[in-house]
Amino acid sequence: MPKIDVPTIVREAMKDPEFSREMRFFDGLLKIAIADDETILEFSDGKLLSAQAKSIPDEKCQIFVKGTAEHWEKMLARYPAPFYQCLQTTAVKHGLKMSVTNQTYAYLPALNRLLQILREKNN
Amino acid sequence: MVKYEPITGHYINIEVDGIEYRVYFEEAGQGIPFLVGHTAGSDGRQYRHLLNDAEVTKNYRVIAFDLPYHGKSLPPHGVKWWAQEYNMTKQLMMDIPNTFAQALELDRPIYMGSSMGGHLAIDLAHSYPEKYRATIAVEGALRSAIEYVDVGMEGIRREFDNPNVSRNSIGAAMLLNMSPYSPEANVREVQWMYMQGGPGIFAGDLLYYYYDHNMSPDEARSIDTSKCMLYFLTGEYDPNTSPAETSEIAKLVKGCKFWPMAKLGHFPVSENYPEFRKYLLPILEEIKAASR
Repeated sequence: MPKIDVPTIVREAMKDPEFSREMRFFDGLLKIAIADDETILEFSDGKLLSAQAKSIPDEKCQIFVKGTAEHWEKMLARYPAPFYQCLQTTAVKHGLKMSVTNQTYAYLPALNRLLQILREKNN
Repeated sequence: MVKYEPITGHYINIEVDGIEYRVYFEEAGQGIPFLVGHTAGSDGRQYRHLLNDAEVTKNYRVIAFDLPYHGKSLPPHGVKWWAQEYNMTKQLMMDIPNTFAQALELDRPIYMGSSMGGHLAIDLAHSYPEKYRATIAVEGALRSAIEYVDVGMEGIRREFDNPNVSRNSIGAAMLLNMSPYSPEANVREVQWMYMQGGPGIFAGDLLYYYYDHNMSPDEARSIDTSKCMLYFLTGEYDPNTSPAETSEIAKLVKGCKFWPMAKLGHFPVSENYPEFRKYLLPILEEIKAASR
């Protein structure tokens, strides 16, 4: 799988009507980790303040999604194999790590859309 | 020219355990009565493609009902539902279609249900084989997948009945159950219906789906398919009841039939009806032949 430039893709995703709508009012940090590559997305009232490749502990992030290269490769396939079809299935069945916070549940529509955008970019 | 669909809707009032429920249902077709039950937290709109399938409705009276508290079946008057936690039990799940079928004077209908309706198809075949000529469990098993059972009702309510989280997220969560091969418009429609449930209803339904439906191997072995034939259909992409889980019970129920469904998910009836009907139609033909 080619390296995924998460900061750039998320900056572009803020122009996506669904993703930007579903991120409304979010405050705090959202971490996406692809193996050892971590991206921290900082939001204020739903606006993306920064998208940077850097590392911040999970507990300082309102939402995190952390997977191995294999998790991401399988999730981002055009037609994922059974139980890699989304973040939550991959978490329950294959060990992807996701935060368990109210914000994670509340912003699940945005996370789903982001995965869809990443999949589109990957294929 | 107006394009009408051949579906009509009705309300009936039925009494179960001393409570009068106003139940909404839609129907189409004529012939062998064919009751269809929806998934947890959704409603009978899931069956709109089946209700519009002329090849089915020429021989079957397809009836899709909304369970109480779902869809257009409002909470019952006379119950202070707002002052208590909603939980669906196995007994109520069975009593509703039994009472409903009796009220409509249906002659040993077929029952087909998906997800919790799939589990119900098994429970009905086990507990009331005299009332149904056949049941079709779509996504049914002895029990739902253990990873989800282990979450517990507290965890379920934290995710699906949480004032911090809108019902949009219930719809979003349903993505986990669906196949990447399903047309996106259908996936979004399934999610749409899940965004419209009443407060705590989806979570309360899961009491039955994860806990109150828990069939033992001995109970499964005791199902008599000569009285009520039991069919199983399970989608390859269903993590809650995978084909592996369904095959466990299929091995125990003598005479049953099971087809895993490639490239389909947990909501095959609405996710991808054109593919689902390839499995359903031969079953209906078999039931029709056995009914002669």
